[in-house]
Amino acid sequence: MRRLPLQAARVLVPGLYAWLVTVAMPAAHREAGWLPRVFAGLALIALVGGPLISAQNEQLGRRVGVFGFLGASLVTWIGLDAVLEVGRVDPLRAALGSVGWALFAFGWGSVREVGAVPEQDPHVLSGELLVARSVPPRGAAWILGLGMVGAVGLVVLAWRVDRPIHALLGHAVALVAAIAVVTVAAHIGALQGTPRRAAPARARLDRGARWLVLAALLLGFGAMLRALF
Amino acid sequence: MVRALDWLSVLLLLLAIGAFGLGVHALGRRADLDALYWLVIGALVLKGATDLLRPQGGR
Repeated sequence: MRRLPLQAARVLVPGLYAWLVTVAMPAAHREAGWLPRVFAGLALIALVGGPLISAQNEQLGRRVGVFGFLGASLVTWIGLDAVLEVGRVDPLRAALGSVGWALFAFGWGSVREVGAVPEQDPHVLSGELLVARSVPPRGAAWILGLGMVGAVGLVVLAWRVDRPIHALLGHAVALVAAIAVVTVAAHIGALQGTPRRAAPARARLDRGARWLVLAALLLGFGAMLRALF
Repeated sequence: MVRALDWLSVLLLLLAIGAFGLGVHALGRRADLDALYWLVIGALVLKGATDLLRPQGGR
């Protein structure tokens, strides 16, 4: 019961923001019918009720707080129909709302309490400490961070595509590209300057060069077409 | 030389992010052919960056 305020805040703060931006505001639109408005209200009740019930009955609270909130929000969105057409949605508000939903999902997760020491848990396995075999190379975090910033930028850019069918394609393409960028950034970061069974520099250059030559040819071809037409 | 290749792969990663960004931006400008063009270039550059890092025996 003592943990309720912190747990509730972790869920309620992002949940209320996500609800306000992505559920309540569209439901308050003058073209919205009674059904989405009723379910938007039910979603709010489920959102607030979930953490409160969770203090007494965790399983039931989780069902109400996650599935109840999500289900009522889903019915609201289905009922809103034309109000939520891609061209009518503000890209920035939608992007920030999706961040709120992500934080809401994390809020229901189980995280370590502030000040708690994992090794003091009565269920902890005793024995020798497991020491990492190596440490990440210097600069690895920066390169991974660079990739993550680039990936987020791609996902945000996809919100600028306002044609309904192309918008979906844009999000799919941006998501695939973002995953590829983060994966390659992690790979590059992890291998920076570490002694490894690397092929000789010449062989590595040859291997990468074929793709880079293709890219350069395509760039040149595009520049030539642009100059001609 | 090995160190230079490591940094080249970082530079290629940045170029690939830029090319992908131009591709997604072109979709928003309703220039579908431009979008395809930049996305393919991004994929090729990213593949080049990955292949520069392959350890010995990697395919």
